[in-house]
Amino acid sequence: MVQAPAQIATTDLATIAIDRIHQAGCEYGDIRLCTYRSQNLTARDRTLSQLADNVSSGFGVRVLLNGAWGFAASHNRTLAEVERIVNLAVDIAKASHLSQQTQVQLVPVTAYSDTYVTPIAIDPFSVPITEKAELLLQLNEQLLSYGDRGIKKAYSYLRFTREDKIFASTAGATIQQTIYRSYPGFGCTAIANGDAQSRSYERPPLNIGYEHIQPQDLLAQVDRVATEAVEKVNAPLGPSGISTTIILKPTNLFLTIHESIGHPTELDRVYGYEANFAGTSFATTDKLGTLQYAAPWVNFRADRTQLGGRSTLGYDDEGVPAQDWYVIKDGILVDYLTDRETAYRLGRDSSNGCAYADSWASVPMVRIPNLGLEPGPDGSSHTATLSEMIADTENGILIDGIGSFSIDQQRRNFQFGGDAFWKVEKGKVVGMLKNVTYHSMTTDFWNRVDALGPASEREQCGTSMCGKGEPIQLAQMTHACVPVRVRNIQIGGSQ
Amino acid sequence: MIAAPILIGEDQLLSLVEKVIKQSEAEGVFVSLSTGEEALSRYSENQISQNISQTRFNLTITSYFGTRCASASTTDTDPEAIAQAVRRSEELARIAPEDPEWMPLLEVQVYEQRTPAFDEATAMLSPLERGKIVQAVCARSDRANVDGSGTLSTEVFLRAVGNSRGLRACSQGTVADFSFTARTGDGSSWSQRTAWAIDQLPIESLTEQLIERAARSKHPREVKPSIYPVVFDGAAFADLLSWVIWNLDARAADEGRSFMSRIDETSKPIGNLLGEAIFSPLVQVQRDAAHPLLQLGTFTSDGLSNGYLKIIEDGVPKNLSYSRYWAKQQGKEPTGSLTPIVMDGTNQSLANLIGQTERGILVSRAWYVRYVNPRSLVVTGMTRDGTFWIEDGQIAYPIKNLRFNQSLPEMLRDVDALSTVQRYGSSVVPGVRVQAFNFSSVTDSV
Repeated sequence: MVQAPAQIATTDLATIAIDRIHQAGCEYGDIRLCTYRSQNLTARDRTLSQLADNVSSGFGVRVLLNGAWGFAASHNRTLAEVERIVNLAVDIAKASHLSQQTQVQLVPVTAYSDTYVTPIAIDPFSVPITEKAELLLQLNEQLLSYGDRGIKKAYSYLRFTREDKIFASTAGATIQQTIYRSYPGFGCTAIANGDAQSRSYERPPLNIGYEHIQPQDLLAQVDRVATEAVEKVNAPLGPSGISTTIILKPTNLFLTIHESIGHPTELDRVYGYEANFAGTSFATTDKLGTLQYAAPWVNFRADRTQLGGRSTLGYDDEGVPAQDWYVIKDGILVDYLTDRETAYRLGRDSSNGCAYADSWASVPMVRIPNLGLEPGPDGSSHTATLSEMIADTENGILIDGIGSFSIDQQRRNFQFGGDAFWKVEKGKVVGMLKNVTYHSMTTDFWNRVDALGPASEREQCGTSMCGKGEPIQLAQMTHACVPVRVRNIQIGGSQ
Repeated sequence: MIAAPILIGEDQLLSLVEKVIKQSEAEGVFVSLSTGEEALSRYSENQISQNISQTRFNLTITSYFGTRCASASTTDTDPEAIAQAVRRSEELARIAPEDPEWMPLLEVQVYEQRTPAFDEATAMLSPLERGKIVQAVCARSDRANVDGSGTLSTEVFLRAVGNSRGLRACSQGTVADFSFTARTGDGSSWSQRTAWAIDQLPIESLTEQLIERAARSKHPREVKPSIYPVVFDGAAFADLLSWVIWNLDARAADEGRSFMSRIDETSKPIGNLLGEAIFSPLVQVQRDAAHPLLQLGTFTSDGLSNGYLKIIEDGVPKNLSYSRYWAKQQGKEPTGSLTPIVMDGTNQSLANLIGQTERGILVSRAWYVRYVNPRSLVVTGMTRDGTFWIEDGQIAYPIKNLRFNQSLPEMLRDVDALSTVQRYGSSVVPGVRVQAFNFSSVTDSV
């Protein structure tokens, strides 16, 4: 195992794997050969607690034999190991066949030969480590300079990834992709009055180069973040057991979109593939085209082509090209998020390209793509800027950033918190609150949206930590959105 | 047939650690190696929907120059790739900032003298054998007219650590895990078992039990969200207890960021609540990797011993998790991680606990548990896959799932009965009864 293997070109390994899959009589097969380089820096208080440069490489082979799946993966990129892994995947498919009642079938896909590289201005791995480390320690030092006012803890981080993936399939596809990801952020904790409260700021995780880091922007936020953490720890508790109006900034709303729009419309969940773990969905196929999911002025659009989106790329992990489509149009559920298998079950003739595997060792599955809330159109009676929403609110709570989040396994009952809360009274923000949560049922919530921000207030917020599957996989996606105002939402105290 | 895992032995793994340390040009180096194979069959709608095998290797090198350090890792076993990872960690470490919390490399440790469990049959289980076991579960589900889904997995692993001060540790082990969800109409049930050998998993009996429970969970009624006594199945309680253990960090407590923080009359943090009787006297928790159901390795990922450690005794927290840095600051011994956790149970069955309950709720699974208030350790989450109303010592009827908002320290304070223990993942816990648990809303979701 630790001997030097005979080196062979990656593309040749792919060709050999596809040949072996054909020879094994599989109706379909693919191989992904991947190398992930990640650079992670984390500073805690005045120490750089993490400085790591990691490389993970290997390949995964997926075969469909007699309508049953088999998948095997290895870190060892040698000819002998490729042959062993193909044979193992075939054996696994034969074992899957034992319990098979309905054969898996796939919608067709054009066999593309193509390359895709994330457009970037600055390669994150070309920037000196010292520059990155100094930025984080400077951020923390400035946050801790508010120590006499209560800031006792500080953290900051930089995350960079470069993913090199080669996909080849028995359908004839050969696709090479290089995806860059960048993600900076920081936060602090104020300790006072027997309480501890945090405040944070991030430039959202995006597929973009080092130009996303913007040290001056990060440093410029320090004073506001530290001051708000101090105000928050001294703030009164939020109300409990009332219904009120809430105004959600994109930095909070993206996670509500993720949990209550994204996951329920994953078609594998709808069909029960996740029943044992992540759960199923209330948005079943009998409701397609009729379910009034949201107010008529609310539209959600998936888009894997949008510049910088965290799931933006050329092709998904089944070789399906990136595309965009409405999931909720005029408030009605009109489509799902599919891979080739679930699209076939729905009777579609193509997949909308949501297959993703988080590693060479992971099997592709349906994952949420970039899924955004469309801005309110100019001139609409339901379009308002954030300032206009506040000015037009008699009593309410303004929420920024993410905090607590939990939703039931069919994605109806949810409860979310936030990173910062302000009381709104007679059209004005009148002071901070702490420990606020809002609670609703998914369709009740989205049907109570009465104002949407305009395109000028759209932000590309998102997550790099979406867990699903067994073994669990982490996916990454953007939920571009605008501020919204939602009426009559239950507020529960969390003290 | 391709079933045998392609693994190296402990000697080879330690030899590789030695080679990497010899290659190092740093003033100090720490090496961590892991390799293994995991196979997992996932089924839904009474058939396998995903079936995988992963062969993995990972080498992480942390290089030290004075108080500067950095790490690099690779999954490539090629000597040239390993040499590159060593050089990469050194290049980064040379330019890293000085670490004010730097600690010298760990000295040679004394570990528990025992051999972790390794089951040959689990390590060698073929895809076909795994497929046959799942086939039987799916067939049984089919006959019972339930929609069965779940997982069956096996894993064989080797781990080793070493450093340039002579520290060496290595262990291998096996794990097998079975989980099953039975769904029928608006009824559902779930559970899970973990063992170090595949033949220790009660697959057939658990399948039967869950199919029966799914049938009993149909047509749930709605109960008003309120504070009720609760009997937790061990699988549900394991999820909640782990949140408490994660929050027993000494530094967070001493700095005023945890429910374990002690504050003075002016609300300033002045240490922690170690030694205070803050939980029910029934609560006994320890780190016990040698427990018969676990028999795990003898060291933590940073090379510290994970020997037996009392965490909570008679409801009194006896130890917090001390990093090496914080232990030095506080004049304590470092503990490293507090896992794997073992909570003592009794010889009573869960049915006995239900039988002794006048009225309350039986919770089979806790789902999507998240912080609401990290300082006080209030969490929220949902019940799922089998929630029942208990009346006069009997399961009276199924009820709709509920959201809870609950202080977990208060939950442990209110424990008043325990059942036998089971292993769930890397934890061994009993079912428990809690006098008061706060439910805040209801859902139609099944």
